Amino acid sequence: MKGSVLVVGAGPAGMRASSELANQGFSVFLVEEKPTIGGKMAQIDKMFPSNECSSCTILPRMLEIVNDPNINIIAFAEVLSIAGKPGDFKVKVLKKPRYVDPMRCNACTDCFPVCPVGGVPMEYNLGRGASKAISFYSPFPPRKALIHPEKCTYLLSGECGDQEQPPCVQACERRAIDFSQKPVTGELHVGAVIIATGSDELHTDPLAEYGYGKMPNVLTALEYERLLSGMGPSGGVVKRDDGTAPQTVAWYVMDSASPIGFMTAVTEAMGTAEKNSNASVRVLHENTNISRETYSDFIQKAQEANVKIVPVDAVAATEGTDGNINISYQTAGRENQLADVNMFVLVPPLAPSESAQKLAQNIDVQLNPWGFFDKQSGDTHPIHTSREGIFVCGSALEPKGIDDAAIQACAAASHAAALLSEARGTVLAPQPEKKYLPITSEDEPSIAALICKCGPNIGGLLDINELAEYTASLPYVKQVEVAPFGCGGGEIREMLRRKGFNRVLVGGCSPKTHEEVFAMYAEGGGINRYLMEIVNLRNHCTWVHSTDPKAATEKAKTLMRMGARRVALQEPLEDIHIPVSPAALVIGGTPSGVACALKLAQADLQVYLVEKESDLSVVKANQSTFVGRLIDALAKLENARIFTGSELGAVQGYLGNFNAEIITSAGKEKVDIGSIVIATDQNIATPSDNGDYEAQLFLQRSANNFFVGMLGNLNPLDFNTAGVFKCGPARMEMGVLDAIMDGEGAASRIAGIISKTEMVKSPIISIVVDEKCDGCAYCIEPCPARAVTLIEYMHNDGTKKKTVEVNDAVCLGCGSCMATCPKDAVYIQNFKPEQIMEMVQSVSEEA
Amino acid sequence: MPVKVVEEWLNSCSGCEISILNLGDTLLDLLPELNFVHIPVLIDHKYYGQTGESDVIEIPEADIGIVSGGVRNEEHKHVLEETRKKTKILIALGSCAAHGGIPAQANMYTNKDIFEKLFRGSPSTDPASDPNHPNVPQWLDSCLALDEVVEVDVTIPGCPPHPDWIAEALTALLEGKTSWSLPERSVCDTCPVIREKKSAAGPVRRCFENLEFNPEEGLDKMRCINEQGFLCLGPVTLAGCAGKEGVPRCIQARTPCRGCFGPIRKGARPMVDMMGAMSSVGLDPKTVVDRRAIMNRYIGGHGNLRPLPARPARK
Amino acid sequence: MEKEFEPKIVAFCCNWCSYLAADSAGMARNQYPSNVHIIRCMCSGMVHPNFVIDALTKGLADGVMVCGCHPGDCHYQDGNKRAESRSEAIFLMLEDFGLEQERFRLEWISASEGQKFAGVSGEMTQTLKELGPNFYKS
Repeated sequence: MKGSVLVVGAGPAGMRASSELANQGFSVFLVEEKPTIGGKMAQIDKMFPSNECSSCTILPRMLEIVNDPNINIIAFAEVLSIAGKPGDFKVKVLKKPRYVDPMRCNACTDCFPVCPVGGVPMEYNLGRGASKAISFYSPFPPRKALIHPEKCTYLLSGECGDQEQPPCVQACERRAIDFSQKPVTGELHVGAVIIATGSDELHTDPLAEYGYGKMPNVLTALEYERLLSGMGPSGGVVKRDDGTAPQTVAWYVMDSASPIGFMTAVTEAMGTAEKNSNASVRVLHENTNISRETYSDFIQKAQEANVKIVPVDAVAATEGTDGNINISYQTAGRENQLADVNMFVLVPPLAPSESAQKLAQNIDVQLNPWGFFDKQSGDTHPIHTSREGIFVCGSALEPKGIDDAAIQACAAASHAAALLSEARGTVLAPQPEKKYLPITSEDEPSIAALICKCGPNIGGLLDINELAEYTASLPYVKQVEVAPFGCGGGEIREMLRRKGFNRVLVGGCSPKTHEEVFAMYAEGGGINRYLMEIVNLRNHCTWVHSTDPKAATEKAKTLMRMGARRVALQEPLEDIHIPVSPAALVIGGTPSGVACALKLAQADLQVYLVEKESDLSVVKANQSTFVGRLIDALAKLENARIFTGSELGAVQGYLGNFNAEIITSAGKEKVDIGSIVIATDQNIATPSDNGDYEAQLFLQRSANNFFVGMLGNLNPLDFNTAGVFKCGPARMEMGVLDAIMDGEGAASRIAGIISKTEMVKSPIISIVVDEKCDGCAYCIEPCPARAVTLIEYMHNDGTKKKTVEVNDAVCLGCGSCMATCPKDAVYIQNFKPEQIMEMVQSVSEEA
Repeated sequence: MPVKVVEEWLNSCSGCEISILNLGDTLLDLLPELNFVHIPVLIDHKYYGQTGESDVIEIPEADIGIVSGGVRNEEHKHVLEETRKKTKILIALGSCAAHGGIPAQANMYTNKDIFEKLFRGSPSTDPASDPNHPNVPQWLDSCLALDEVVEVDVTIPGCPPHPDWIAEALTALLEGKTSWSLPERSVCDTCPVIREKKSAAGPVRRCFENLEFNPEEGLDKMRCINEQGFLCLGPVTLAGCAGKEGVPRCIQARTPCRGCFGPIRKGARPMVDMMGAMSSVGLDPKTVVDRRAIMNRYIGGHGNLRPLPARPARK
Repeated sequence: MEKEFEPKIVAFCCNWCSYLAADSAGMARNQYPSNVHIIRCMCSGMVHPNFVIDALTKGLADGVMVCGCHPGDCHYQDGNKRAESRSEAIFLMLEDFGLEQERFRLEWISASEGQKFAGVSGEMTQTLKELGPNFYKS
């Protein structure tokens, strides 16, 4: 049995399934057909019903995945076949040629300007905007250049430019361009497969009836998303193709069966109204009834933001003057309406992604009549495909919102984890052993500085000699090296080999993309990663001040000065290890609760289920036979203890280390658990005489008495109290199958905590300065993690004193306490006020 | 041999001197070791000779100089500079000497505005011209703390400073130490009230509204004044108003701390810290009435209060 | 000829949105004046009013920006809201210290809004040029 999983499709569902599995101790191959990850979520501007920025939400998750040693991203590839049986699959994967060696390409972009072929429509922008024949596919990872074989002169004719080598090859210092690349087939060995290939707009004939493809300002919803997106072809300013800004925009939702299209239209209309308060926006739809509460609330908010929702039947569109579109529609009151709009956005139904059918054939999995990976056969589990050991989640199963996709991805992960439980942790990437030089924060700083030219990106604009000389003159800087491409690591390794340094300062690109790489080099040289600082000379200087080399050089000096001052005050830090009680508590024997407990128990984890009814069969009686089967399966598992006729007493503790009292007819029992899930169906808070877990765990309910938790579409199961989750009817009304997937999703969230004996977390957390804190308690309420508590202690002079304590296990390191403290008594590691003020001081000085 | 002491009072109310007397029995213990060679509050000693015969200011040399009051005019400045010259260790006694004190509230206005108001603007005043007699010392541009004019070795803040600290500082100096300072803790450190968390939202309550407490019960049964929605400067004020032991004095009287001991450490800015903390927990910072004056009641020196430049309104 | 006044601007940018916005501005080559210097913070809610007031009243900067995620997008739930509450206090205190309101700015800039970051930086620089140097600098 293999402890690794193949995930097909790197949209929000595939990415989520991958990180959930890696978190539970499985190794993941994430295969994506496009050259970059993110799927549709990376193309849209905002998500419903949270109205949060999509790229802001997905980018940090992408970086997590890219940096996870147990997730292997195979982009620009497709699955050719899957042989074998559950637990032991052999997968053939075809990697398409980029004509650029991703191991060598460092995203310097030197090859772009020299490429003579321009005007290549950008697929990622759905044809809008133009790139060179060598370009990035999107702004997202993996950031490696790509050559378009149908556009590249050299690939088409074998010649480009008047020299021996094509200009891109000449421009590439790293010799990454490789025209000899061919499609390559490889084999992966995995225990389970998750399909998350998503969905796409269905572009069929009816679109043309409304002018799509004929009139310039008739777009589809996804195309319109690109116009709204700040990373889109127009930088987030909605423009018609003639460059004018539309004042009237109408959406027509063509799918009345699913709420997704309608919600998409409303989100886009609201985004348009937010950007241009004068714009007149309306959404035409045949079925404007939305039952889901969070969705209907969102629609109400949109209406308050001047989005008109018009129930219609019969819509028609004809070409108007000045690029406008004349639309006519019949409202529900049977009135004929005419309108002249500047832009007309069609929201087509969602269909399985283009490659789904081919994939299904390749791997011998059935599709339903609409082409989704759904068997449509009543009593089987939606997550299962027709082939055992191959699971499906997200929009590949049925069009859905990103919040639902996230839950299903978690559920799919828990199915795979249950299947492969005995192989958990067997194929993980080895943890590199860290050997640090004996450096303490008392040692006088001795900084090794590297200035990366990033080819011409930095070196082409700045006076590098002047900058290097200046950097060498900064306090504590002992040596400065200049590298053509510092990320290669040669220069920094060489410098650190010479010893005598205890800090590393890199002037180069963004720490958001290169922190991990340079941390690796620093640690290789025995220097703790927290003793390294990356100065963003490229994104924050040369690229944005490219017309003024002199001013840019001056600013670069200031940035290096800021970095040198900051790194001198940095301290070596170690990851925080928190022991975990390896068990879970499920509150409520609902279908969600049972499904959650079952998946945990099947994954070989200890679980306690507390139900107030005297027998789970009471639950069973009201449910389908499907639920009955789950209950029977659970009863057979030894590591699931079911407390019926019981209720919860006092609950205490924090993430990884809770303890709870279970009150049964026989008396009280205490259990230690690492995580808790609320799966009740009571929509009223009912504190019992024995305890009030809702208050003890700081859980909150909405006006309608559903549990509410963390904001954001990607966290539907999480409470703000870390380690506590919610699922099923406790969080919203739902059908029984959805409730089961909710429970299974929660099982994955929980398993991510309790499948390990300890949690390892970043040491960038808050530290209380004992000499300064006297417990005024201002910082307690602003802490989003409730990590701060007020405590009393006996001072050695015999008096009772107060102070606050931060729980390392739950502190997020956001710094809200630091910004609140009126006496400078709490700080975030390596973001000390004096470090920040040193940087500010540096800004004021002249080189 | 007793050490020689000079005691001077500048822009002062004599409260600090009364605090010295309030040392009580301790003062009697200390007195044999102290030789007050100049202490105008008690013993007449003219600056320019007993009959005004000299034209050079004369303050005797001493080991310790104790100066209360801030520096408001040329005379204060002159006396202070001379005291500094003649003493080995200089103590700034009281909040006026340490931070400018109540008189430094005037730093919010220009001298011109103050004179205008004082001699002509007030409705009950018969208009008169500004005093310009050569014997009346000229005002400085603002009321300063001592360390804005000369170097200060020991600071004992407080309005008034607590006798405990005067005794402790003097004892330390008599033992041969050259510096002494209060522990850098805030008033909350010794405040016994119940604290949970600051989550009051909405406007800041005014001091004439009643605190909630049961007069029959001790302070340890009363909820924190900040947590009741009032402005209490305790979190940003140096502890010590009640001496070495005991509950902060205003809290004893069930009234908010007014900040008389000044900032917890040099350079800290109580107003910024307090406004930041209050706004962080949802109290509306706009509702602090007379914010500048209230938050800098005792600490108008060190540039904390200054006349506002005339500026065009925000576009 | 007298050199044109070049204001010094400090921009506190949160790790999850605004810092990425500045990175995006780079990727898209959105040009803005070199007066703006970014300090990375974990959250806009990490910025103590002291950082802003000290930067201005110690004459270290001519203007300060705090940039965070849009409301509802905060990585830590409500850090940006706290930053907003504190900014109200900061604006009031600018008055108290005799500083112009324009010297401080709070902006919500998402990771994809590189253009907005460049735009705001440009505006801030222009405003401060018109306003002249921070008088605490002298």
